[in-house]
Amino acid sequence: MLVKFFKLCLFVFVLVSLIALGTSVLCAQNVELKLATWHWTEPGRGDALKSMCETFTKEYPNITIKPVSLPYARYQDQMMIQMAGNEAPDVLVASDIMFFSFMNLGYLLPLDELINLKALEPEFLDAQKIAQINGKTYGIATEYVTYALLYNETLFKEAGIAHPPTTPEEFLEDAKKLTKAPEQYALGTRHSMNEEGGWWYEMSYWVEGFGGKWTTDAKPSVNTPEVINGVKFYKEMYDAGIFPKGVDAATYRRMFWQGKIAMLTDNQATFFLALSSNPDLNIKAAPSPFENKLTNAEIVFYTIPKSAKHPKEAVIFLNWFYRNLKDYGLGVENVVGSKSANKIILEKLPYLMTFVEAPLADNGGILPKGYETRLPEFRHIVLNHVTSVLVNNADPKAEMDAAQNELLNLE
Amino acid sequence: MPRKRRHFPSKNSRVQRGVWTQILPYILVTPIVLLVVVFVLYPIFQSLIISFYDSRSLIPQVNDYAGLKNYAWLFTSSSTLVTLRVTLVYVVGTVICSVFLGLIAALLMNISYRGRGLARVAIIVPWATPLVASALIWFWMFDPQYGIINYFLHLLHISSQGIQWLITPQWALLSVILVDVWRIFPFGAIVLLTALQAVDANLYDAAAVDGAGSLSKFFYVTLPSIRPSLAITILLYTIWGMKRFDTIWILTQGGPLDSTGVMAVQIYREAFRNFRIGRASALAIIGALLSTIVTFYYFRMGSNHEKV
Repeated sequence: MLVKFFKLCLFVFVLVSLIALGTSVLCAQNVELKLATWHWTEPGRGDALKSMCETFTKEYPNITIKPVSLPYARYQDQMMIQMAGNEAPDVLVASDIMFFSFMNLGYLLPLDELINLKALEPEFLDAQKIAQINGKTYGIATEYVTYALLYNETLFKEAGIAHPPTTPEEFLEDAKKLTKAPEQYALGTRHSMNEEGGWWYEMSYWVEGFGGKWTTDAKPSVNTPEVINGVKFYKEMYDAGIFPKGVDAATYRRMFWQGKIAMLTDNQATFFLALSSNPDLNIKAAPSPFENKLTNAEIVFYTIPKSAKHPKEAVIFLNWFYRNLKDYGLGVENVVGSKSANKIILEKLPYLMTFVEAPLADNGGILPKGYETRLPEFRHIVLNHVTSVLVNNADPKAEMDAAQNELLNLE
Repeated sequence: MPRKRRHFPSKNSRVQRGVWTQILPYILVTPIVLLVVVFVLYPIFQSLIISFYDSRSLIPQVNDYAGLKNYAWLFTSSSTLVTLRVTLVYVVGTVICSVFLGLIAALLMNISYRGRGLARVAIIVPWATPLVASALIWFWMFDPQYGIINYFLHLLHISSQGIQWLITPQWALLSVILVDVWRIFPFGAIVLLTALQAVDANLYDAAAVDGAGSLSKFFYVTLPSIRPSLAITILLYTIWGMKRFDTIWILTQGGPLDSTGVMAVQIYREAFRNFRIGRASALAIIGALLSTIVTFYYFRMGSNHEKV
């Protein structure tokens, strides 16, 4: 009896062990690849990404993508904590600013030995070179949005202006004609410290137009004549009252699509947002009113963290994703600032080629080369001095000299 | 009738009860002590440790140890002085105005008149309104072009151009103080109203017999009677003021020209904008020390007053 019972126990034990072993083998074959991004919950981009991941899993049935979704505002902090605690996702999406922070802290894997970058090179976006630091590539630029001069053609016609401005002088002249304060303003722009991040994009746009660069040879150069001219021009616009003062971006963008503001220096997402809010709006996009036509960009990089649990599968995904970037572009309705541009939209609205053709400013415009990881401090110092020029009527040269001095002494 | 037999506890049980009486208070305070240790003391200790590291990561590594470098930076940087000055002006401004307004509101709510109940409810509204919502409403009211404040200034011929409330350093700090005073004075009003209602009416009668007028009654009866509540209100306002972040961040993010950059804003900026967690922790430790000194000073004043 006892022997029988013992045999039964042994049989059950062997059976359970076999089941457990089989399950673990199956599990080992099925890799769950964690992909972290704030895009998951965005209406256009999130859907396009989900669809891409489903297609990928059909091609690679043993790899399933597990979304790691966080709102943009908390994304950088959370990812930093996860990577520092060796709990990183396998694929990590990073904006340009985050990318440099993560890279500088040594959280990202160099991709040079993992991916055949040479094979992907023909498909590289213009922004890809930004991801190459000290001869190593830490991410793949998958998309970027650029800035252009958005203008309301109806308001231009009403003011007797035939075409969008092509020089700063023309811009100011047209702007004065377009301003009928407080009912109508020529421009909507961020210009206060409570929108520091957004203002930096706008400020960079004008400074680059005058040929200014925030840094030269990885050293601050915020007091060069070109940068000072950009600041002076901004002050001229401020004093001319061509934009509503103290108004935040959400408000002036709404005013733009209500036809109360004639121009914005903004990205294509705002263009489509304006059209979806007011389909009757007669708006177009034009290059920046400067000879160099330079523009800023917000770049998105796909990276693999050093502490990723499945780096091999992450590489497979990145390779596949990059080869199919055009499909992603078609899925994301309003991405037109890159090679993943949506051709259908471009055929329908050809003037949006402005976003695609605009040459990128140095390092994407907003990232001062050599100070990428210290952008918040850099930006705060510069914009504080620009504020002084705007509201205290301080001398632009003296202020930018002071800013240069502070930046050189930045620890 | 048989006498009821009285039960005397044995020596052992008396000893046990004695031990139990001694242990019980410790058992009762253990949960709260644990909470304080885990959620207050441990984070402060961690902040202190982190303040000795110079790291760009939210989790510093061993080789980021920098000794007193962050403290040296704090005591030599001109921005620290600006931060302390702005914090001092902000705290003093909000405390004085909130206590003054709170006291007036409490006195008004303490006298009898028709609609007093409604007035009491109305005064509570700013305190009860969600913070973010009220800050955003104020942001709109301060709008230089379309805000209601400038509209009235224009209507009353006080300023035809309007004031750029939140974007000029001259006005930004005042605007932020105004918003916070509006938001927090009801708390003081309620605390002081409770104190006012506890004042013995006989004291007023006695003062009246002595020929005291309204002002004399206020200064010699009311004020001394509500002094403990007044002190605790001032203390709380001061501590809250020293760590105020939310309204300021929503309205100005510490700008323009750092004119509203109080300590909490600078701590946030260093930690989550510049990712200098060590510097932020050092600043937080200094802030905590200042708060402790203020609290200690208030309690010291309170005990001295009681002795007198």
